[in-house]
Amino acid sequence: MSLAPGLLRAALGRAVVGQEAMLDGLLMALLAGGHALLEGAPGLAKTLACTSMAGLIGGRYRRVQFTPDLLPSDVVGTRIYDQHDGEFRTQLGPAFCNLLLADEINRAPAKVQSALLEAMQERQITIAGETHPLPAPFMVLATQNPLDGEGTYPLPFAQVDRFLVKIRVESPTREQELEIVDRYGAGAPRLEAVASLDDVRAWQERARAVHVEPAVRAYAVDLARATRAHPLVESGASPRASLALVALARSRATLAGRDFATPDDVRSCAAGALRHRVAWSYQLAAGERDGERELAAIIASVTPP
Amino acid sequence: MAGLRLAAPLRYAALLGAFAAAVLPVAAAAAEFRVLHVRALSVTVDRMQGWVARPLHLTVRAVVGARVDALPELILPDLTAFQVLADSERIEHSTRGTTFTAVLTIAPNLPGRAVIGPAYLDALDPRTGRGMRYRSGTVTVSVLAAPPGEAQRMIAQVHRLLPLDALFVLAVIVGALWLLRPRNAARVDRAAPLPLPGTPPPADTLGPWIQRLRDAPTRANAVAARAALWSRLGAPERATAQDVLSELKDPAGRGAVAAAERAAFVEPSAEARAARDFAEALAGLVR
Repeated sequence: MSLAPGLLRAALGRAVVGQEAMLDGLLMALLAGGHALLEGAPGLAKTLACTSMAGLIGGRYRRVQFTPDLLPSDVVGTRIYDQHDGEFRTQLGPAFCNLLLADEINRAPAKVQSALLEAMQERQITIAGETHPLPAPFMVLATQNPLDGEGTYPLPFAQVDRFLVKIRVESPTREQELEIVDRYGAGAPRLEAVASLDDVRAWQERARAVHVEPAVRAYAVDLARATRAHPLVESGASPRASLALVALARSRATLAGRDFATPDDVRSCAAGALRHRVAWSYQLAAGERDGERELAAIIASVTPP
Repeated sequence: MAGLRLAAPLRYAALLGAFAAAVLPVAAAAAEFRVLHVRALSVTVDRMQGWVARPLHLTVRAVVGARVDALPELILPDLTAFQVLADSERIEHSTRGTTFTAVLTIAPNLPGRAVIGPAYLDALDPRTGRGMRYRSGTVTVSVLAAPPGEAQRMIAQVHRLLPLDALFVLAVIVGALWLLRPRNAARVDRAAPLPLPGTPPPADTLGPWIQRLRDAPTRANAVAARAALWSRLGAPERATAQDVLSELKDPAGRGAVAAAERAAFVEPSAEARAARDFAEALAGLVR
């Protein structure tokens, strides 16, 4: 019997003040074997949450700051000529790790994004015709800042779909901010691993075994389909969203120590699984309406079993 | 207006010409359009009610996701029912793009309901590359014939014709009639309030389910008993267990809700045991 994932959640909660939704979302994505996209203003502990999670599971962690001059080889690796031996050898890039933090992913050009997103999907990287599998678990935590759009390369809709969940990072409350100042004023506390990669693999296995009743699966499908019927949606969530919803519901049940998923598991994960998979029509912006609020209304309109 | 290249206020006539020309198929003119990510296009007025010949301020706002210095593609609304007294424009650049704001001072020509809008913006959709005609919503202004000063004069005339004493007597009569109204008149039936979450359900509605679950601990019975529990707890439509638990303080009730979830959604091999546990949780609740 491996360690309970709730222990990792508790340890993460000690490392990061507040941001419950972000921490839950990160852990659920980890348990589901998916990737997470974090969107929020700078200074909201996005990077701290990622580094803390990496430190707590003791995996190999790499961070890549995405910039406009980044090249695909800077992420995935390349072949370099060794003058000493007179031969080419493969230099693996930072993507060969367990947790990759792609900081400000929308600052790099499409080619780099595409190379990373391909690695996320295939879980392997091909360099000069040679395929290298990525280690397991492999998770990409990408961040982007919604405010500073100048000089960015927004992720194409099809590529955003590769992220299992999109987490909106909100500002902390006043009390939480006071605690942040108290706790981090004298520097970040040191973290020690509370779990191992074997534990993570066991949790993932446990999450995959969680039972999802047909009625709960149907609820997930109905939620995804409801986005397609909304008049202000140009393109609704794809069947991949239904799969993501069920996977996230399984993870949430595992975190709660259950071996079955409930409608609450699906509903709680719905916004994170759907928000980046719904393309709102122009009329939404013209009417100065909020997509997040409309999505909440769509979710609330579907009757759970 | 820099974006529209017209001379005020006569430039508005030319603008209407442009508006007429704009009804040509968008696809035909698509080649001349720019690729613009149109984030917002709106038409607003500062008052929803106005008077003939009295000025109103109409604001047309367009937000595009690119840095542009003019927006000649923007077609302002048809204002033939108004006189255009003045116009101004403002362009603001931000990290999100450009906000173009045109403010027109207009005066209604006739009383009645005047619909303003929509405004149009032609551009190539950056995602598909196709020519698109974006349109704003419309606003409806109610135009009155008499400006406020004239209306006040009319009220003063009524006051002169109908002294305040007469109004007081009329109010007393109406009040007395209301007090003496028949008490046995038909009343509007009101829906009985739902029991508040947390109120223990009466034993008679859940009792049969307890027995049924004990006799036949199946998923179907558990799902039906769960629905009965939800109903008796006053759960609103589309409520989940989380919604019910957020309002429920009674430990026996909370236990029953948790047992109901398990019985309804647990894997088939554990279904019978979960249904029996649910029956006992319900029994604990009604005791």
